[in-house]
Amino acid sequence: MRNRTRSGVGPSMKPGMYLTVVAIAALLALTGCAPEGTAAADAAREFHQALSGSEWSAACSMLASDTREKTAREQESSCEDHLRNLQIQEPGTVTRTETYGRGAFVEFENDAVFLAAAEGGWKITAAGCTPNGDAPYTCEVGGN
Amino acid sequence: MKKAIRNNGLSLFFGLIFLLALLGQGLTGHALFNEEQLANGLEEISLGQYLASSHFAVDVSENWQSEYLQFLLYIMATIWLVQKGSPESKELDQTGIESDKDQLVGEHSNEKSPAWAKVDGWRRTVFSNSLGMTMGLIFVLCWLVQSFAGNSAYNEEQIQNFQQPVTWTEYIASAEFWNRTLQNWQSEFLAVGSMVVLSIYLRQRGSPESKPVGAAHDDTASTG
Repeated sequence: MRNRTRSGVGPSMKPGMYLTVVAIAALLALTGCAPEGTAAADAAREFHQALSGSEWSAACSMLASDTREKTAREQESSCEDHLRNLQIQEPGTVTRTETYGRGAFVEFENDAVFLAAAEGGWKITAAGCTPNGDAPYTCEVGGN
Repeated sequence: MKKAIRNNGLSLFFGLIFLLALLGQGLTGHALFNEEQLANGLEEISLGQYLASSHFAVDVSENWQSEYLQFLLYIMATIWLVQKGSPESKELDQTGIESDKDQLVGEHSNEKSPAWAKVDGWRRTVFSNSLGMTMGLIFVLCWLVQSFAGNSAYNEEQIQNFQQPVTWTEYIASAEFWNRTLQNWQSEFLAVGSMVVLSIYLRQRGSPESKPVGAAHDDTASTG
């Protein structure tokens, strides 16, 4: 009689172990522990570099479209003019980056920046932000 | 094949409507999420991105955890607590884990009894509690998923509102987490309680969840 053998090569992962690996991977994805934090921090740094280099158009292009339009509307001037008149201090180094879904929060030594995911990468929704207790941050660019 | 479908009709029916409802939740949740994105001046996302998001995960897991908690509490409470007149209850004088003879374990098992019901030791103990343990484990896992996914979804909204994200330990102590949890728990407990009480006085002919139509109101542990 022919012996019946299992198909496949080598020992297979036990179902319980497989489920554990899948569960851990899912938890990491759900909790924002993803490499996108680096991209968000880079976007925030590039924005500050554009500001310190007086590259107002480049800085405006890094803003989310809604933020750019709102800034121009509220200040009754162009986005570039508004950024030119800002008094945002040097941000210092990044101390914390947190990414959750399509939102990111990048904290510098002297600034906080909020970002939203967009087709072209991370866009700034608010910058030059200072904490305000549990209330929303007070921001020089964008924000409430 | 026909016989298999007939013999498993109840599980197939609920499995099918579960999948349809989950699909519907995914589609409507995606539409709602994108409405909120546009209202906040942000970009819409695809259905695939939404189904992989913490928003979908928390909306699903907060319901699942409460359902499994409901069953866990129902399974365990009905061991010791009784309700006169309810088909959901044991007989009034049968509270507790009952005798080995009544439970068909060990020497009282028969040839059709599951293997772990026939043996002594930890195997019998585990099998004797396997339903409660499984419901409890699924409840805990779903509640954990709710806590992590909820923290992520909440923080995404915090960032949209230009507020600071919170840690997981801050989130599980927050009003948002407990509001999500308790709004689900209250409805589950109400549903079970309603079933226990309504089935004393009302009937549904042919259902094993109901007493026989002609059974007395104070008949306990009787099914139709």
